Amino acid sequence: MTETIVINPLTRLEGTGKVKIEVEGGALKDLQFSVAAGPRFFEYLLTNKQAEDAPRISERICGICYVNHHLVSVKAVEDAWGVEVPEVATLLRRTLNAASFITSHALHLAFLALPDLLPIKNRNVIGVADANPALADVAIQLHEYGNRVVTEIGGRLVHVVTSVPGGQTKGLTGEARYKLLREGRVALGNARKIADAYFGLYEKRANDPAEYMGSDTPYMGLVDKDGGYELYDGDIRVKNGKGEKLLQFPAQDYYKRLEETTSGHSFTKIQYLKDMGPIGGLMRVGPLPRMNVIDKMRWGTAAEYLKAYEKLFSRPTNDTAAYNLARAVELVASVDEVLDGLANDAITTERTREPVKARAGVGYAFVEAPRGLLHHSYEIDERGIIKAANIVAPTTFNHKSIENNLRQYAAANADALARKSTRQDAMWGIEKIVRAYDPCLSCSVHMVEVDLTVDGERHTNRRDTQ
Amino acid sequence: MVKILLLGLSGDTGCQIAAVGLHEKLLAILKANELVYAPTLMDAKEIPAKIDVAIIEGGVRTEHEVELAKKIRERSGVLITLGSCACFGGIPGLANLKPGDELLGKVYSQKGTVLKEMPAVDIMLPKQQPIGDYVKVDFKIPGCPPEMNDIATILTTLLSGGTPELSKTDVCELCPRERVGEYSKKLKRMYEEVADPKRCFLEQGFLCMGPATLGGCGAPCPQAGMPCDGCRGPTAGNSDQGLAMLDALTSLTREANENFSLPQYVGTIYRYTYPSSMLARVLNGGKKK
Repeated sequence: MTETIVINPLTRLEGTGKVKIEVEGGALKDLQFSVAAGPRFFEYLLTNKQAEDAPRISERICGICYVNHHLVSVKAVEDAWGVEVPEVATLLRRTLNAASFITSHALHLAFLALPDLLPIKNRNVIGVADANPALADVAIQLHEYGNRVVTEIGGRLVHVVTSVPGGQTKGLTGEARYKLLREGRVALGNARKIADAYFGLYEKRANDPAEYMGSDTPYMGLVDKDGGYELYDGDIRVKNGKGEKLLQFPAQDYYKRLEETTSGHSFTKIQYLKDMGPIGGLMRVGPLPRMNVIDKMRWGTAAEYLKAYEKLFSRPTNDTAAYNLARAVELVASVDEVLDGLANDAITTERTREPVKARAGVGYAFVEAPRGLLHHSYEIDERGIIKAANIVAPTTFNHKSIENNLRQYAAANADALARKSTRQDAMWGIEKIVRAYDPCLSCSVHMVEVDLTVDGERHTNRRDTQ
Repeated sequence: MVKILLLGLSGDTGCQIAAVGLHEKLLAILKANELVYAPTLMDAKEIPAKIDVAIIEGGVRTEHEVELAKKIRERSGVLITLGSCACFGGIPGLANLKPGDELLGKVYSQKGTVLKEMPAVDIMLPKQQPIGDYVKVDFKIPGCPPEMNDIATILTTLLSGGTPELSKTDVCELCPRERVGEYSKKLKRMYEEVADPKRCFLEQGFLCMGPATLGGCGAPCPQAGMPCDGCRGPTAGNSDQGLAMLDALTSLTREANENFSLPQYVGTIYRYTYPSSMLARVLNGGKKK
């Protein structure tokens, strides 16, 4: 007899998702990881809109990765128009992007993932605050610091406003810069405290590869021109679990390197690397893959933590458990990068933008978001109106690999899932894996559509043959 | 102890994230009350039988979301919509400009997509609508996202049994940009020119939604060098933000702008409110949804 187990909704993550597991005769029959958040058609609704409005419209895809959507969007428009921005604008944007990592990672590490790693009964925000008030306090301070940098440079918190083709509409005053620098030094100490807590937990952890599992997939992330850690610019590098470099390509090669397909049980599309095909080309992105693809860290404190990370996990590693620890390294790295940006005198340059001209063209851009690579590309007409848009969020890249990871775990624990006495723990094991990826389910909803009912009449959708 | 539900429907969780930004203030609210269901923050999997205050973010886009909204309404004393998607339909509502079936053809003809299987997770509705189109809403907290202090003040007032009040003014009220009374006759695009940081955007020819948008936010966007894009929806007593903006444009510039066209600017003047606008209703043959 087939028994169906459903985890719905998945909790302590962004957006709506569920896992459906079918177990038969003590073995796993099927597992489906679904993004159930309603599609919102962002790619469609960007069409026929003024290209300069895209950064403000598209960031509404995600309430957590909004900074990254805002930035990748303006970069895509600028790529289409052949625009170079002033140095100060790039510096402000890099700092803004790094600040979004502080906020997002602090929240995830301290409040969403930590309940899975601590022996606490009340597995939520309040549980963490009760069990470890000092750590919760540090995380809140860090979250606030990230928010202050975002507000100062982005003009507003949750849905920033300052990026426009040609530069930034708001600069940084000397006063604001020094205040953020001063607070940033405290933030670095706080980031170390959270990272240290994670390293402490991971050193004590049995490091059992069966806990999170994970298999050898292509890993994809940005690198700078020296192969170093990079969040805002650079090439996309792909390595496998053996550490072999499979590909390295610029954003403009998106359609040459990537292809997508659809799934019957999820609103998200499935991305794969063309060279490796629809199965071998299913990649992973995010903190762990970033650690896997880079040659080195660019900043001192982060380099120190990367070294400590290498004592616990090999680089590259396939063990999904490393996602949380890689995130802890990145928390430190992102404060490092914010401090680095603020320490640069050019950041207070007054003229932060230049007027630009719209022209017809196609623009491609990537940035790293906290959850992994993020891509926007736009086709724009000569009046500066968007004619087509493509948006691929980190969880779109990760979606199928997460499902495969869950399948691997469920197959190994099919017996525990089938038995009522052990089921709860095994299901928690599943959710723990999903959470390690910190998926952003509303982001990933990349307009794969579906059964549509119009006035009671059901429409099926067929791909137009082109 | 008031039992609180916090849930996101079709939206981006940004309103809940804005609420998380309240930090200590939010923890104080949560500790003094009882959070009974909030998938983003805690592990409860079932909608509880009795809820005192339900706070819902996001609009309604699937049949499942309609059912959820109805179920929560039945079980809740007070239902609050948080943010412009929940209150007016929000940015995703701009997709309503295209009929559902046409929309499908469009999204599927994208290059680079190999279609294998139709997703069957849930049944899509043809349009994104605000929650109030399906169930009775007791209080709206608009904004994309709402201002953090609004969330705190309004929740604290509501939870203590009071009736909170939203601003009665527009965004211009608190905007420090100066008006000298001379208006550009031509609408300009933001990238074409670096605007004077001290002077009103509208006077300089940049479309700013300030006069048609609910105030109280302190005009953070114009102060950061960007025109208001209307995220807080219409001002008190005004039901259609886009018409109010057109009215402001024509009265301020004293003549219709020569290069204004509705198809180009519909995503500007109705960016957050299209699903609940009169324009949508007219295009929909007089029907609300």
